[in-house]
Amino acid sequence: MGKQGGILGPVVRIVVLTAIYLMVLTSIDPADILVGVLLATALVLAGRNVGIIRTRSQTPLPRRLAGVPALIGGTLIDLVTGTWKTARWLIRREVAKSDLVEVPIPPHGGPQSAAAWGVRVGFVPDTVVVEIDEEKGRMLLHVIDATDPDAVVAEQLDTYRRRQRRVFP
Amino acid sequence: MISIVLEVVGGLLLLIGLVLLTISVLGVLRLPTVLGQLHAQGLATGPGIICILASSIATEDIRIITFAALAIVFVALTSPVSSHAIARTAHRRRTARKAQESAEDKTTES
Repeated sequence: MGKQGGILGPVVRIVVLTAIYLMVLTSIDPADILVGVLLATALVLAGRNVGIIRTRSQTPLPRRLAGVPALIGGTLIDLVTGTWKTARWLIRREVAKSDLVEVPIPPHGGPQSAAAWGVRVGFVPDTVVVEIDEEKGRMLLHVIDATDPDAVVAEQLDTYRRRQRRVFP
Repeated sequence: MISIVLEVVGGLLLLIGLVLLTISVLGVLRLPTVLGQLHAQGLATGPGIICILASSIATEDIRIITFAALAIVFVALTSPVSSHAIARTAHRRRTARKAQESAEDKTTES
């Protein structure tokens, strides 16, 4: 398992980096793919030597990858519901009480977990990530309906458990 | 048959995207605070743009659809980061301004 994870990790990194390169170019030409793979491989190898890309998670990589569909699907569901809520909020005459809410970040999560949480939450229009404080273990969110901050915190922690914890614990 | 379905779906996505962009502009003009405006802006840079790019399925051109899919992923990864940067700056400025105002109030009282 360890050896499989050891090979799979760099391959996944190369694929992701190549995908980002192609996204920036918005191109799928074979030549661009080749250049992307070469650049990504060089970056991953350089990162190994310098020690940049060495984040080890206790969860095995195949198990983390198995959680990706739930993460993407759940985020899409959040996106649709968040879009509906925000659109209704913007059209209404009287604006609901929007405010800042402090959400605790689980202590076992590392920087990757906090960053993934920030991107996932920030992608949905009804929440804006204002601050992520890893030292204090909190994330400051601006939500469109802050009448019940406890409910917002409970909802955030619930979506973290159901959608993100397997992939970015 | 499939072509008609794709055209209808593409047209609907385009319509939804344009409605979302319109609501977003309305929100940006209407809301008084930067943090509030970011919610409205998020409606455009997230689901609005995604719907418009996804409407490219009506073209039935695999190249255009792939470009659109890549652009959707790129937007999905970058828009939360830019929105967070603006929100953090706005929050810090607001906090600093409040601290300055309270300090000035204390000075006036004494």
